[in-house]
Amino acid sequence: MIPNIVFYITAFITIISAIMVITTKDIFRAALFLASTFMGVVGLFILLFAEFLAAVQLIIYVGAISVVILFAIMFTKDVEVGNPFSKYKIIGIVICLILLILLILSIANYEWNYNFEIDNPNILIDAYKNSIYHIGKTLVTTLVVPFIASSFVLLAAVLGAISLVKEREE
Amino acid sequence: MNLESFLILSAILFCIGLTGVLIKSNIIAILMSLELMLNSVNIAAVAASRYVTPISADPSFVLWGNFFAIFIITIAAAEVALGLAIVMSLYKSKNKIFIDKISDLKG
Repeated sequence: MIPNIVFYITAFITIISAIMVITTKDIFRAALFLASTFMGVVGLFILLFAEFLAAVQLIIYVGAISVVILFAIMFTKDVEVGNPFSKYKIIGIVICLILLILLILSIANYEWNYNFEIDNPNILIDAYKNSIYHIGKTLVTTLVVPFIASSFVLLAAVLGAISLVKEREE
Repeated sequence: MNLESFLILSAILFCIGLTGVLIKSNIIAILMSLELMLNSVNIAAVAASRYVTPISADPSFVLWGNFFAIFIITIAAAEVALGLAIVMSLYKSKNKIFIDKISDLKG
């Protein structure tokens, strides 16, 4: 009962903040609403038993990405002009509404086979109790190639960002 | 609170983000909407692995959606760093950040 109430409150906050992100005129406030949306997603992750991911989301999204976006808004001085709509406003909203209706129909009409009542629930209990242990172990054994590849992606992103922003000497 | 509610919430978030990408004209607002879309994909992956993962002897199979979400968060961090660097250099060279006004590649 209580998880249901918490889920509905969190989902409401998340969706309202997400709508405010794209409808607010002031882009600074839009960035603050974006941070609020990320906080709502943190709550959803905790409801899904993904505590490590909730902590990562809190540190990276709320702590780093929101602040970087706020910095970029401060540096580009068109804050007063805000974020107006482009000329594809009507057709964009129509396309997204059609897509949303299709997605909700297809989600609601599919027969999901839950596997909660399985014969061996010890695996589930072990996986969720020691989730950080399993995540760390799998990241350096099974998933070691994408792990190292993502580290190279981060390195390339940092170097690319520095070389893009750096002043060129004539 | 079941799988459908999480997936429908994720679909709503995705469509809000897609609407923002389509209808906004500020580049930073478009980047913010992209972050919304990536977050909705994270929610969908984690919810699916919470409710319908195949059960095997390896407990890390239960957490498979978390790995997807971790890599998506990594790519999102790289994407926002590069995107904001491009915005900054565009603002420094052309002094504008609205996509209606930036049409140099159009010829």
